[in-house]
Amino acid sequence: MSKEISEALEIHQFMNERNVIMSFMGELTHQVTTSLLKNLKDDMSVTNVDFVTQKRLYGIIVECLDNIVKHWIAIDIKRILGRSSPPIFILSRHDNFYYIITGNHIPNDQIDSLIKKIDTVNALDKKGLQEYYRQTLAKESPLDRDNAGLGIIDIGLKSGNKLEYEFRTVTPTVSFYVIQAKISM
Amino acid sequence: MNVLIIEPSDFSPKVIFDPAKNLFEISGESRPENTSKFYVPILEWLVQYQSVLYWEKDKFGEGTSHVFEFKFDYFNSTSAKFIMDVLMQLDKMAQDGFSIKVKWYYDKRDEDMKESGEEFSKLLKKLPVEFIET
Repeated sequence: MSKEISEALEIHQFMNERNVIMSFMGELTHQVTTSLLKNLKDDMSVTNVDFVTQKRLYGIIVECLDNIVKHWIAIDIKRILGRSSPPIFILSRHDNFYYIITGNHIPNDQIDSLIKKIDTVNALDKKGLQEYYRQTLAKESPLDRDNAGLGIIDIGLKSGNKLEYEFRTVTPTVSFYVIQAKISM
Repeated sequence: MNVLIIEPSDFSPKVIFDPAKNLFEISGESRPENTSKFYVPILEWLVQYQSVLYWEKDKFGEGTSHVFEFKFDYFNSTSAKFIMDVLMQLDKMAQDGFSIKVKWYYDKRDEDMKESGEEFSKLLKKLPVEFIET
């Protein structure tokens, strides 16, 4: 057995054990996102749960994928690293939770504000998050319109659980950013 | 005033603003690839329509009542900002004395959609928002 086949079997076994419903690694465009979301809507492992969980799960995944697309457009990672290093998206289900994990490169100068935002979301209860959402919605920021900052708050609201994250420095200018949201089944 | 019709797609809502039929409706899913490109024409149409309403009011006195119906299945956070802009524009028209009202539809199982509408309405000054369970 070749090394490649052996590795593929290991990856399959790992994904199987972790109950991975859907995973994607590659160039994430709006078209790819739409295709993934269409598959998700038809996936029985997701459609057999209650309506509210389905909708919240869908909303979290849209926000996570939208974030990847925004960062993917903003960073020319191939030029920075000298090789391709696409983002990753994993949806799995275990221990009565759905787990949504995304990983993508972001500029190091955005890390502090992102950590601040996630920590703020994690510190708030539902009422606090709704208030924070409303304040952010009311802010006039036409230049920042496509990155209004509502996404993380929306994920926090829909998830109902703390968000977990990790940053791995890749170069002096870029890090790999992983965020995990989970929602009760 | 021209009719504004935008056909729906897998990721953008259907829009019908038809003054002749007094029909104003946005429905479906909203997560356009370029949110600004999708919503700016809607906002521009509303600004123009406000001018028409002023002209009608000057010429004929009190105009007709308008009901704008929002029937979203889902909208992403980037769309939320633009939906707020649409509501703000309608609110401006209501503050200027025009008879404008919003009907916010939501699936009876979808408490989140109702709450989103309530969050929007808290930021409005005069525009009445009626919540309708379907």
